[in-house]
Amino acid sequence: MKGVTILGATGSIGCSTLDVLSRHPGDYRVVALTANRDVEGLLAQCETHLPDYAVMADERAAEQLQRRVREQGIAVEVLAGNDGLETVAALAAVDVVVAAIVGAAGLLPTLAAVRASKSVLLANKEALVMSGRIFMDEVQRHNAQLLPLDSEHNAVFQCLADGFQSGLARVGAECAKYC
Amino acid sequence: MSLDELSGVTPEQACAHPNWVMGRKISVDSATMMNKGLEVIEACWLFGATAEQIEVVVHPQSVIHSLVEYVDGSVLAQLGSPDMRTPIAHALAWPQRIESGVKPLDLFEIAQLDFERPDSVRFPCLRLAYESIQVGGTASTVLNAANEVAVDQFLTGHLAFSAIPVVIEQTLEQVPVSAADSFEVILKADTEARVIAGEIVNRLVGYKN
Repeated sequence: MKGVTILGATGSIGCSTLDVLSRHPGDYRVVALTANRDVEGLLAQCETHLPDYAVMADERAAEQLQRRVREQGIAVEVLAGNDGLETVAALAAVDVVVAAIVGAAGLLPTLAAVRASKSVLLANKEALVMSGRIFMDEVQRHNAQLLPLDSEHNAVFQCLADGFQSGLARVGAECAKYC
Repeated sequence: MSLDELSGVTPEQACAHPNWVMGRKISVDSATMMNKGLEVIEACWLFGATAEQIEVVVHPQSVIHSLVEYVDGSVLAQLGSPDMRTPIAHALAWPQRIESGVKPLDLFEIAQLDFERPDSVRFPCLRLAYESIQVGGTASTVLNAANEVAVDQFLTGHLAFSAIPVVIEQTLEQVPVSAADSFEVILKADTEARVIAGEIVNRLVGYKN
């Protein structure tokens, strides 16, 4: 059974990921879900998917979620802020981290997952745009696995043979076309 | 839509993609084609490619998600219904395959696949993204920060749609580029670019009023 953290669970990618996970209940367990400010959205997801941790990036939203969780009697530990995001990205019980926070805000939590040698499913394109080379260096240094979630990158990944990391030419590829 | 009409695009129009359901930021990025620009930058890092090896193709049906061309002339494409559950299921289970709930692709219903060259006059964001790769260092960090500021100002109703690339281009001109050799340098460039982009937005909005 693979443990999964979803960074940015209430967004479009987060919701689609939960939909796929719920089709395979014996293979995956949701360990942590995070959101920025959507307290009610994350609360509903906690009721359905029963994670161990729920994190709100916004501190005040975290206090609200803590109160709502107590009212509803849901057994979940609520954490707050960037520290909370980085904590659940690196938990020992987690194998897969879905990095689906939008924008630069996703960089540090995604990096925490990489540094904890997780399998990182990357939808947060800004992380790589901001820090390309040193981000990829960290992936290599920590032996993390980086798998692209964006439909276009995922499509290229599916069309490439193993070994492409050392250059497209290495696998005989001339170019990639992005639709 | 003419270039003039583009300046009056509303957040609601910009977020209404015909095929994909997406969050608001990425929807605006798709409308300006900055989304493709960011993907080109990302692709270089993900796949060890040069910018010249990444070509952008406009494909209105969103059925082919990308293609790879090989030296022997083979071109491999990945197709599917435009539903994020396919790439999610693929990445979750890789190298296995699992069921995703995505509706099967009906080629007869699609019938036709169209391709167009992107128009770099209408979509300056794409040019700016390619230029930031050539410049290197923190240039794409600055590009990204300026884009986030501009998109946010557009979504909150302060900035015109057509001013998004203007904010990005001027920010790139004003923020000095340094070597992107530590996360500290990158976060500093990000912060600096946001301040400058904010000032540029204020100036542009001031002109308009």
